[in-house]
Amino acid sequence: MTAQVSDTASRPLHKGERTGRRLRVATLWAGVLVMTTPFLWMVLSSFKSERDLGATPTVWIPDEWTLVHFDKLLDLLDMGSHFFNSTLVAVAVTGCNLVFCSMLGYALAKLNFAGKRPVFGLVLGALMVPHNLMLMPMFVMVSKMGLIDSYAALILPFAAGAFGVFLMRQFMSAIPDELLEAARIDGAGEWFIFWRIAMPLVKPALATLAIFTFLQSWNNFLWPLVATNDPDKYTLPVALATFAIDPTKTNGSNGVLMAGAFLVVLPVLLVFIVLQRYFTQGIATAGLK
Amino acid sequence: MQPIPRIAAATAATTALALLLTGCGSGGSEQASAKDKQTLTVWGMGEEGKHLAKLGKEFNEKHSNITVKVTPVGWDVVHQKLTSAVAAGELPDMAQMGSTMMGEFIELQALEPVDEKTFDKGDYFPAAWNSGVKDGKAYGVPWYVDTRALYYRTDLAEKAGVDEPPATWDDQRKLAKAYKDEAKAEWGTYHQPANVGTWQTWLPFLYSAGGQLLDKSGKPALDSPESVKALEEYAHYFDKGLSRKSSPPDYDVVKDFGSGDAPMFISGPWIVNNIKDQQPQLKGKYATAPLPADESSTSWVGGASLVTFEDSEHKAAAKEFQKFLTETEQQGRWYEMAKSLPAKKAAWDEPALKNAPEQLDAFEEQLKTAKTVPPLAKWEEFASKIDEGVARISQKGESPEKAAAWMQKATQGLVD
Amino acid sequence: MTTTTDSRRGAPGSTGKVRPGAGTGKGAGPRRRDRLSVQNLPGWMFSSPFLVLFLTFMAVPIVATLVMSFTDFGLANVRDPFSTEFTGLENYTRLFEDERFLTALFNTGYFVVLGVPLTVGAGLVAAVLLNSGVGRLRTFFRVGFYAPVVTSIVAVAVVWRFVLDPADGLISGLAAEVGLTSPDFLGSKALAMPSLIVMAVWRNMGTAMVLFLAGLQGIPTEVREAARLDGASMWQEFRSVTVPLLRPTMLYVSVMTTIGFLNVFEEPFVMTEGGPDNSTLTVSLDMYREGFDFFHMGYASAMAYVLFTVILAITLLQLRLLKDKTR
Repeated sequence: MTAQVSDTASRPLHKGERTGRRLRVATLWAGVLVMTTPFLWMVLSSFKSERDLGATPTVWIPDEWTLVHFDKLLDLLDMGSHFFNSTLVAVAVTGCNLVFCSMLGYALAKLNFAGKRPVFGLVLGALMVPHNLMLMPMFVMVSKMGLIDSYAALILPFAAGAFGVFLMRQFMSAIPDELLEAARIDGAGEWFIFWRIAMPLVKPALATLAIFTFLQSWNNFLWPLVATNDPDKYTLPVALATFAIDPTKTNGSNGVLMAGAFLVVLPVLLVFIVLQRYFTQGIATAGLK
Repeated sequence: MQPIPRIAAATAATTALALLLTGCGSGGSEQASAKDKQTLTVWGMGEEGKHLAKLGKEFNEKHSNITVKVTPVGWDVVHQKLTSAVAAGELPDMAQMGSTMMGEFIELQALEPVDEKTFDKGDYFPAAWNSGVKDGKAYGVPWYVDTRALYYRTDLAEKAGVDEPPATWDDQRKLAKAYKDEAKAEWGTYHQPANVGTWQTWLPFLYSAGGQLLDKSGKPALDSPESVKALEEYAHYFDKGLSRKSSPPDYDVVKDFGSGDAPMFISGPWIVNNIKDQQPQLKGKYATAPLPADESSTSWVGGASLVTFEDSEHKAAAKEFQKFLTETEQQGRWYEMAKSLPAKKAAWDEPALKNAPEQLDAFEEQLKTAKTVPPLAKWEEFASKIDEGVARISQKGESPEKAAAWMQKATQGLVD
Repeated sequence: MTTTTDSRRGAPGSTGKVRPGAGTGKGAGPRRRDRLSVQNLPGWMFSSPFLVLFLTFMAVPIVATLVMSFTDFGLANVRDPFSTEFTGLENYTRLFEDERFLTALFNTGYFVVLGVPLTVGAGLVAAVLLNSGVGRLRTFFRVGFYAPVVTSIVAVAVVWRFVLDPADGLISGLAAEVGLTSPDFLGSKALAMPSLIVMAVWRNMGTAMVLFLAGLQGIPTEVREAARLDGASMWQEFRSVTVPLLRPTMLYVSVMTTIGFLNVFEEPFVMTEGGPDNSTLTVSLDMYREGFDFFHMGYASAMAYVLFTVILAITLLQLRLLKDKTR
């Protein structure tokens, strides 16, 4: 990436190029504006008074900034416990994926065992299968296990994703065989080699996997919607969605809804802005095949 | 097989069976008595769920050993959540259950029969009590009843040159048109055009036209001339641009009623409360009236019962709480809190009801002639077909005859 | 020597087409591994957690969905799954006479056919612009375009519902500023689906953009220089250098976006409930309603399989179409 940037910067630009560049920057500015406007609208609206929200012509910047929608929201929705549910599930899913996907990724990259090919085939196949396909039997199974409304039901089905295996296998392959062989000759066990030698070497990949798994879990909707009946067990998106389609709760107040969306989006957006480098680099490496 | 292994096998099988039975059965041995320290979990719905939590706290002050935990569930998802909970066997101890849902949950054998010694059938309105009866057994204690009537803005009506509530369908059409043309309202009325619960607004038209949901033999009667007529009347408002053809999933008509965008609509008594809370400026500017009549002015009886789930281990405590909620005096208070009409006859003599705001009169009046919704095990599905049938005339622009025929066909397999 | 090649595989090298891991077991592997014996036990031990979870929560349900799709599995069967009755192909034949389902299938197709190319195209344009030297703002732009991707679809759908609100929404406010009235986007049969598509493009183009950026960096600078020395305009360079070399990325992005879009659910669930007049009813939403409102699980399973078949077919088709031209 740096190559291209310095490439254009080092050469003196002639006039046509400069206008071209201005045009491109202007287009990008316009694009970014379109991308961020809905968020701005959300934030501003969540602080507008009900009167400003319904005013014509539209009041863009609140006349008076108010927290009344947040008050009302927290009164109607137990955001604290939904936040807790979402966090707990996302952390657990991420932890499991880091360990389980790395294990199989390591095995597929560095161990020679009978059945390796079919296992890898399974992983590739699993990449293509949408989760919606399994909704019905999963519900029946989880019901029969008595796990409806439990954290286990929200965590286990996502505890080892095929994508993670695929990613880790790629990175594990890059570890020099000599390193592992040397350890083996020294009599190290396979688990020791995996945990103490291989894992530290793929930390960047682990960071990527952690970020994406966490995000995916945090934003997951359909399965948590089906697997929880008790509103106390709802994750944030489920709580927000069922709230947003219920007129007896919102009373048609867009302010309350924007406050809700704001609270759901805010933590992720903040984390993203702080860690943005890892996000975009991560998805790039992950996408490389 | 050797004797000993055979014994072992038999024992194992018996144990497994016993475990299975205790696991799946009603768990009679684990029943807590009303005196034990316990938490009673209750699901409440919609507006009522909000108020129920308050009553739970009051109950706890009297019965310090029973903590009531009320979980409010939205009406839009409650059917799905309750059926799913039944399927999964993960139910609360008790719930408020809409009268139209009773049939299904009785059929699913999820409900505990009511102790008819504690709750006397004769104390309640027959229509309310009977919504929870199957094969002579009652499964729900009626909590409140409701029905639908007309809300309209009197100030805007005046502006439009109308000074009387619409008495007939014709009057209603005229008023809607006057609101739009004369009072410059955005819409003339709000008839729910589509999505979950549309049937609630349309059913009064069907009943007022003299129609029925089911004919005498218990088959759907949705392609009857009366049904077509009701659809035609409903369609009129969309065809003439007097009612919006779509509304967002969380559309709250009270907001548009307050702003004057939708100066007329049909709904239940709890709206009186919502208007007071959310649109206080409307005081004295709106009124309610019995439904405009065609053949008659006939609404339907809804409401909710209190049910105990068969799997509950706190049935005694649930009974105590239900007794508390249905005391005559409490019913009067409940009316004050939620503007829900008491299901218990004696409660109508309570001061709270005697001094009710005049807006409630229309509902009292309407309730006298209102008809029930037949208890159907597949009511939700049946209702969803009506919702879709109405959407066909409001949004697809299909003819009432075609939509009626469609509804008839779609519901045929849903009655047995 | 062989191991050094191996270690380079992970990092984007100069070849442009990096295929890490694809060849493990070749190169250094065979000879040494033969010597060191096969590691069956650790191999399976390391595989087992994934495999157990995969079997329980994927393999079994996939088969179970297929089996259920030939039965009348209903609410009572959740408690007692084995009392369900086989009904043969009935669910499938009913599906193709079910007006609602056919509408849902059409709508889902509409969403994908319009949404995927727009998403991929917008992502590609953004990536090319970002890669053409915009200096320090690059990071800022990248963050801006990518931000919607990290947010919950439900939250975003709630926001967009208000953005598109015909009375108090953002668009109607902007329209009013310039003296126009905006239509009721989500309340109109013709505009509801396009509105959802625009929103989906907005939310997902960031992913495509970042992947394309990575792909663009894999294109050696010399190739570009050569094109430029030959006097190629920016458009020519884009068409004859960038696009062909990005084909592998394009394949990946299209396949993944398509799979995601075919499962579209949250947007109509929150924004329109499938309306008006079922114009935004998607297969996943219809399946959810049949499966979990009415517990027609057999029927819903058949829907799931039809959707899955479509996904498989489209994926294979895309792999074919785009791959052929790569080589």
